[in-house]
Amino acid sequence: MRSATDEPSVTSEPVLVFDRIDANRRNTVLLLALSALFVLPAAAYLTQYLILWLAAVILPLSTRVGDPRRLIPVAIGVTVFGGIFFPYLIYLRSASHLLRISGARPLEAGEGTELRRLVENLCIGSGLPVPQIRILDSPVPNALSTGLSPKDATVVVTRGLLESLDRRELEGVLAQELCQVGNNDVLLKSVLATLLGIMLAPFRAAGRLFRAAGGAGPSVRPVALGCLYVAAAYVVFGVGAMLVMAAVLGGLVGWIGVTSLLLFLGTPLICLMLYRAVSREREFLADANAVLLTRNPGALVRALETVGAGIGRGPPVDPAIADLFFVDPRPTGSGVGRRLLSSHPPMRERIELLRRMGEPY
Amino acid sequence: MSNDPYLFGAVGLLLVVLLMSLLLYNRLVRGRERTREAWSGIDVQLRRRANLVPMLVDTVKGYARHERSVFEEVTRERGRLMEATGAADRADANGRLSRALVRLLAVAEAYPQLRASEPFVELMEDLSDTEEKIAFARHFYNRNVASFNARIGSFPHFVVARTFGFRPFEFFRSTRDELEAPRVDLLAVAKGDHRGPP
Repeated sequence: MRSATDEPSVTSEPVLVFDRIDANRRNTVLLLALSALFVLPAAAYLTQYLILWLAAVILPLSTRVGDPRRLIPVAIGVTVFGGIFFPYLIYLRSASHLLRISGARPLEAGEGTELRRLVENLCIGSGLPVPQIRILDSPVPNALSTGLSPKDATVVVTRGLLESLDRRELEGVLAQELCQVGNNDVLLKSVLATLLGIMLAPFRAAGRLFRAAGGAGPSVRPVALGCLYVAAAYVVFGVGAMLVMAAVLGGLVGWIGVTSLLLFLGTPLICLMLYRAVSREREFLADANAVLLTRNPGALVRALETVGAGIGRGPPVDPAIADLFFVDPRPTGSGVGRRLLSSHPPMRERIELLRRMGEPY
Repeated sequence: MSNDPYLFGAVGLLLVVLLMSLLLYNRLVRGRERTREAWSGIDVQLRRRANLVPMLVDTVKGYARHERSVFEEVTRERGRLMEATGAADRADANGRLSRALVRLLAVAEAYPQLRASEPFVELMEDLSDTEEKIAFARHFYNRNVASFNARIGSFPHFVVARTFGFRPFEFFRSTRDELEAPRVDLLAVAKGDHRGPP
């Protein structure tokens, strides 16, 4: 229950409400710039590669491109397209795409009056526009939110959540999701996931090829091995070609190529860890914000326990949307690696922090 | 003269100060507008509550005609809420109306038929939803007020706020302790479930 006093006494952190959304937006931009620092060289490398291959095809065919330097504007064009425009397109589609993957359906008429009311009230309390509400027909209690801005956000709850939580607990979960919406977390996560996806694409492809080479029947194996061979040659040729370019093109362009290749090989892991660390921080932040909104850490703790107990019971969840959930739907182990790479903070820590906020009033 | 470094520095400093005041001023205006917007959130819900009260009185009247003093009290407090201006006064009036409503519900409790009647149950649901909305709207407004007031009282903004006459907002909070009533779960009271808030 809300108390008589409305001062934010639950957390000691000073809260500036109308600054927070602005601050979060700034942080998003900052983090984007930081990721771009890592991602752009890699994207540049990928596109330079493309150009090299194109050149390798075009040069023998046509004598018109006599001087390889003429390819530079094209290379820049493709870099801009591949490095900025293409990810932007993916990013625009990501929210609706994620919603489609989740398989959530809109509320039917007359369904979830209580749920709607809770969401509406929480939106009044947080100054957010009322999001779309969807139901995921799964017995496992959990919730997620997507949407690139609070204006077109969607909150999804599973049928299991509605069945297993009481009103206050449900309110806590919804508040947590809405706070993530208000903090623009979905935007942040989508952008980072998109960038990461691009960087990991060649590695994923290689991994798939390895698996195909190992597990496939004899008819597929030579093809897969062939592809792997080409991929390896690609990397080796890439380094060589970059060095040649460095010599031919007077250094700078080629050296950028070599550096970006090295960065490209090393950064996905760094980016992944960066992204996951951000994601964990945002979960903590949203937990705290939710408590500030509902004044009821106890209910949120109970909700976390209930939802946590159901993890791993249901059908597997698409990894693309796993990060968006209230509680990570993938069963997690312990260990340093798992910890560094998990998208949610350990359940025990979340509960511990909420408990420390106390069961006030 | 034209390249006097001191003159140059002074003009530059002046420009920087002007630009900063402009930015600070804009931020203050934005904060003020947002807080006003948050107030309108409370206002809407208070009106909604005030509109529900006569309906509730009429419904209860149909069963308990002789409890006139309670009806009059509720109607009077509703009128006061409509007339009250200023955040603190309205919070006071709202607290008084809440207390009057609790008395009205105590009357209603003696009439099981009334409690079971559909319009009454619907009204109670609406009313309790409105109470909750008021609580949330108040939370949002008060947090905005807290940060706006803190801002105009602290350094760089303080200067600009003084110059342009920005005033702190009143909290939506009763000035009198006894009116700062604990939120009553109307639905529970109406159902005769007296556990109260946990």
